[in-house]
Amino acid sequence: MKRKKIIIAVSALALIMTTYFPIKKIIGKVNFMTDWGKVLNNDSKSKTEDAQRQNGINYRISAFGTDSNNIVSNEDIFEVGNDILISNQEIEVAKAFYILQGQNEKDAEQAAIKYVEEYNAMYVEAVNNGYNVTEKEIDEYVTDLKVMAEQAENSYDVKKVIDQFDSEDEYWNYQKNICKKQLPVQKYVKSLEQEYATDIGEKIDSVEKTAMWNSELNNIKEAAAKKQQYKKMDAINKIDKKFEVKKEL
Amino acid sequence: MKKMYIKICLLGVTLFLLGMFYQSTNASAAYALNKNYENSYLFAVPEGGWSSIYVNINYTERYTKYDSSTNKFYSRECIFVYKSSYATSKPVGNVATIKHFTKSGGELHHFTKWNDFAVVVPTSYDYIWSKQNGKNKFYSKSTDSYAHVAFQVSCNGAVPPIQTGGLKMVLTAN
Repeated sequence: MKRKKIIIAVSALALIMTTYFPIKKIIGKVNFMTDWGKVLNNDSKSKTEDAQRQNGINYRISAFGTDSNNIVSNEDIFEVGNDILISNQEIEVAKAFYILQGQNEKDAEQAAIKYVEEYNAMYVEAVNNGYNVTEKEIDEYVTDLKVMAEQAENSYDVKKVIDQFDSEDEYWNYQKNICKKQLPVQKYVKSLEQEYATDIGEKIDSVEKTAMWNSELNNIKEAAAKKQQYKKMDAINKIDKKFEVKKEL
Repeated sequence: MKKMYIKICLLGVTLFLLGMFYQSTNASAAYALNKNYENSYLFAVPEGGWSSIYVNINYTERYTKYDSSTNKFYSRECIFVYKSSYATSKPVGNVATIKHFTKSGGELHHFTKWNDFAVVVPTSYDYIWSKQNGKNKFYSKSTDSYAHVAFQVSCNGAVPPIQTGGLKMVLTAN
């Protein structure tokens, strides 16, 4: 009887040990997507509020490209680059991503600033190199992304994010706004990858070569960010006129 | 009578030889089991969008009839291709293992020696891994053992950072 109890106890412990970490990992991942969805929903709502704001001076987030249709108030600007503005909201969204990943607040903020500076700088480079996109291209891309999201192996991840929005349409409209910057950068980066493959005389067709390319891409992103010479908003006197939006009387 | 007897014997021998010939040609005829898997994997990225990788695996086991109840699996080929869509960090995929298992998941064999073999795939794919293995494995025709190709996709800095998948093909071949 005693032996039986020991066997049952050991078996139960083994079961707990083998299932605890996988379950914890799954729950952790489910929480990330749910919480990330909430962050994005808040971001979507704040962009709507920015567009409706009447007070303060409004600026175009970018000097050119499709993203130049996005407006930000002077109170919401974090940094000013030569050709693009970085909003506080963009930093907060990226920071939330890194906090949800498990980083502490300080590291998450540093990682967010680096990521957003580089991403925005790459957008400028993309547009300057002719990789802008039309509204039609954005619509087509999001339509394809919708289908992919429904059929993907991890479609449940996407659903967790979408479920945090008031409606699925709101989520996909939000994605269209994201794509104004993401698509030009994607197209530009693809061309850089092809150039890199030509330069090294080999296809990027292995795990090792992909790691080499990603390392090179990091160098390219850092150089693009340096070129923008970002300055904190409170360190400058005036934002260049090219960013100003004339108020309608 | 004697002539009739000789004719019957000759007919019998001829039929026997024909039967033997049929058996031998039938035994050397080659067959194949084939399965395809394709799907996309999405990765959440800090700007609020998604990076993605689309994977396609084509797996073939080639066999001959070894005897009336056994198949000899003498060769296998795996073609693993993918294409990715990304802005800041390129997703990557790789084949982890190719094995044979019993129905209940007991490992029968782990194939480790693979040789390159040439294939033609659409140019839209970023990455092509096409390999062949020539290890002989024998299973009954009604076996419920299966072949499994395990793979992994990942995207640095994204969530989830790593995802896994697999192709499973039962080796029943009557």
